[in-house]
Amino acid sequence: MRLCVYSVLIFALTSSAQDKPKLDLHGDRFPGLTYEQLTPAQRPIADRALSGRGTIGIFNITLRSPELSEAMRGIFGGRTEPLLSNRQNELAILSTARFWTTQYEWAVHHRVAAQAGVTEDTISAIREGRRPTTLQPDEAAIYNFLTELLNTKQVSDGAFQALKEQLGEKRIVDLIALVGFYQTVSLMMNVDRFPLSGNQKPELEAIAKPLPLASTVSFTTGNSARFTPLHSEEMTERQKAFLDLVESGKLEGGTAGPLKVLLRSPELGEAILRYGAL
Amino acid sequence: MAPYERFHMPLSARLRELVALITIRAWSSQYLWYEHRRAASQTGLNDALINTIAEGKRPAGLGPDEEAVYNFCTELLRTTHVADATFNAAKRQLEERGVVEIMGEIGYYQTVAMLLNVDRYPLPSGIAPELKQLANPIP
Repeated sequence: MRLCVYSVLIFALTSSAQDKPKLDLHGDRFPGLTYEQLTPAQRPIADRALSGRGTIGIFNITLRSPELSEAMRGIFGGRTEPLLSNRQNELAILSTARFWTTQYEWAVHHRVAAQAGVTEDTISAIREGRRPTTLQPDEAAIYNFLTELLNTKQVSDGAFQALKEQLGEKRIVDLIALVGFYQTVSLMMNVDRFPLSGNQKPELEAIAKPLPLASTVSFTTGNSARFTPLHSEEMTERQKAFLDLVESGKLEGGTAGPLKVLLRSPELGEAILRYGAL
Repeated sequence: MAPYERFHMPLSARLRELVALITIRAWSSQYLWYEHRRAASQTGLNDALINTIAEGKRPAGLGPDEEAVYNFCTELLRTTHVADATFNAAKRQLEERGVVEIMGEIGYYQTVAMLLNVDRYPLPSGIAPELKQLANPIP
């Protein structure tokens, strides 16, 4: 066992000493960057990606702006614990990819979704722009919430309450952050026309209503806020630390407005306020 | 904890605010609009332009960079894609890097707008909502 670890280590050391860094980046409207083309500001970001988890799809796009690369990593990356279950995550990602008709995201995630337990019935229905009929209760709450939010830019009281019963308020914020990230990835890939790999064919047809609303949605005219304010006795240490940071004024220029909402997910909150101060 | 140093992006403050206003109008996010309209005016966007966006009309008399940004953002947010001509006009004005930063801004404001709209985050008392519900707020 120990020998095996050592040999892997030696292999890693020797191969990194011999090979020049190799960036395997692709794009269409944003042509794939090579390592030699990178500016001194871009190189450390590429080095970190190469020595870590590698480069994800939009890396070639965001690297055009080193500042944005760093900020997006702060907002959306660097989270270690899964916030929703894999099945819930993947359902949200597929719904977002279908709404944006982003071929690459779909090609990658419909397989991951199946592995995570989203049924083939559900995946086919979303691909074809039909409402899935055999969703589990948590899936139905997520799907309905997202169809309303993405199509109408708001959600009904019914959809909010149903999701809150399934996930709780904190994970509603986490779900929105996840969708925010995948919307950003989707719009970047669509602008680039990010190419599918190898012999993959696009699976999503362009349709007018890719993520159809339920016919029964009724939007209430109420206008009171939905997330209940937290009292300090209810806050976790992490939430208190976030609040202290905001009150210390170190996040200059940040949007303090949605603090009450962001407090549900302090890691996201910090990153968002930091980006807002860019 | 990482230091909270400020990054500086080359996209000008005026164009960044234009991207913010268009995205906020697309999402009809009343609180963000209230926060941004003053900031937008301070960066040099003229008030007539800001009011036209609030009313959901297509602004006239934009500068070449503003027009490239307006067309890029509205086309992307309305149709989820952009035409070659729209992409190339934005790239000519702002280079690849500026186009990427526009996309980052849109992604950021969409995320914040979703959080606030889901909450129905209230305006300060005495402030009336400025954005009407429109079928197509970003023509």
